[in-house]
Amino acid sequence: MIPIRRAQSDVDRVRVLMAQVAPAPTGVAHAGDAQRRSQLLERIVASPQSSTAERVRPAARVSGWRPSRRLAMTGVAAASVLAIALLGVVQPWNTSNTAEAITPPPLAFEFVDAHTLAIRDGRPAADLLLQLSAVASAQPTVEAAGGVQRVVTDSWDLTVAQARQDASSAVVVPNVVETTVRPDGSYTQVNRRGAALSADGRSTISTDLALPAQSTDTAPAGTVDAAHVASLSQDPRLLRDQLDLKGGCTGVQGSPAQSRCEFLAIADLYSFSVITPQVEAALWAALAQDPNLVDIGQTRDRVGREGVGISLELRDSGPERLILIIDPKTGHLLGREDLLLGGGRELGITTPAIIAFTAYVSSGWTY
Amino acid sequence: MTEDEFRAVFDSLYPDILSYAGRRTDPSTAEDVVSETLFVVWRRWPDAPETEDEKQSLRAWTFGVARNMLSNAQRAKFRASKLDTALKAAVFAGVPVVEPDHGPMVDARQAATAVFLKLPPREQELLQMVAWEGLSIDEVAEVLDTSRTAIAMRLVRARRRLAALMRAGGLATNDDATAQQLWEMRTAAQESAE
Repeated sequence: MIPIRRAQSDVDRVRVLMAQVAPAPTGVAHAGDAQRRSQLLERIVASPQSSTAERVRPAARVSGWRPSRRLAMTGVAAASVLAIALLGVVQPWNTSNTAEAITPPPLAFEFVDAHTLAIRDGRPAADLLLQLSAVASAQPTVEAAGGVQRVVTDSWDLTVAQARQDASSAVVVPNVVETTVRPDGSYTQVNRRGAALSADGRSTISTDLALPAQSTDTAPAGTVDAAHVASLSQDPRLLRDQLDLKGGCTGVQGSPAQSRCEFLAIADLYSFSVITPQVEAALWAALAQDPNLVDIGQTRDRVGREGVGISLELRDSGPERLILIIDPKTGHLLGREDLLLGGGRELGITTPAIIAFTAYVSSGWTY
Repeated sequence: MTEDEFRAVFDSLYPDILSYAGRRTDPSTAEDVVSETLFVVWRRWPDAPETEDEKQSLRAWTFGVARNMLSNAQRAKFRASKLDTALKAAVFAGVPVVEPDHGPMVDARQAATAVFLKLPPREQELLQMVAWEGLSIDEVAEVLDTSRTAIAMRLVRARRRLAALMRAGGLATNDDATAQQLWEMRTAAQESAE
């Protein structure tokens, strides 16, 4: 253990270095608007507190008072509320103007259907992930012809739907995003309105992307690391370290937060890059070491493809259950689902509810 | 804990949490973060700490809630927008970042941050918590839900890496400051704030 005296010295040294290279930003309001602050306080103390059932003191910890898991979930669920409130649509303390949110139906899996997705786990995922790793490693390597990566996704999230003022007659419409990353690190993202979901929550998209673009974002050279995937290790342990570093994960293997972080890091990787079969094999082999993951069985993803679902165990999921859907024939990641398990009342939705999904429709090299 | 005691805690924490969020995002989002954070504290007030040790960790825990709030807000904000890959990855991994176009960062960026921004986002966050928010190692460990030892070690690594980057960038590294220098820095910072 590092002696306290040494550690305190490090704190002082950090503060000196930071004063030189990244001083605290100036111009930040320290007190805020006094009237709004006062109004907030009164609104808070007028609101209900947790129910009697929740008034269970957390187990004593050496480090002092800590919120219970339920409290942590409350915090993150409230954060989800905040994400919506930021769009000016839902204000928990002003429900009269709350729009009704429409969410897509959850997908049904082999071991958990749409009704049990929030209450039932699957079986340990290690075997399945190792199988998927083997399948991926047997896939032919695709030559990086042209050097330009093109990724198409079909995605939806609650903030998109909530932007509508009156959602009572709205349907869930995904965004089709075509991302082109050039070798110099510049990229273009073309956003198109996708097809409305069918009653079972699936959509089909125009494969020729003939629909007019709703918006196009471009970024100059050097914005992204186009060679990132090429730099990734095919050794599962090293790859995990790289993911942790890039994704800002804590690196504490075995913790639910770490599992969640790596899930998100992988999903982010697929949004911008063409992933080689070798890297995919290493990704699934790395996840096979994670004891917090469960196999929830076969399904068809949002665009109708056969896949298998891998999820965090429910007890570790917090307020959101993240699911990756992987093609059992190729080991390729097909999609990602975000299921909100609780705290939906303030959002105007009944939980469990899908609050975001992404289908990785295609990825490949082009000129 | 009584309502009056909550009011006292509110007065104490409000500026700290507002500053924390305000240094990283736009003023409107920062206000929402502080609002939702303090709502959560109030909702769980019946479980609030009663011993002195527990009261100390309340502040750190509140920063932890604020961090989650900010992280989720940024995740929603940047889900469909362009952002440096490392920053986007950090946001999606639950690590709040200083938003690139955030006005108050301008002064700091002009000061030298090209070097600082070469650090991984989670090291940036750790250094900012210690230097900007004035959190102790114990408090940072509470916020990040990890051990004190892990934070102390990560802090050493981050400091050394930052110093190395500064040297590589031709910047002097005055990381062996004396107590007198530290005192002068803090006095200057206080005067600047006033």
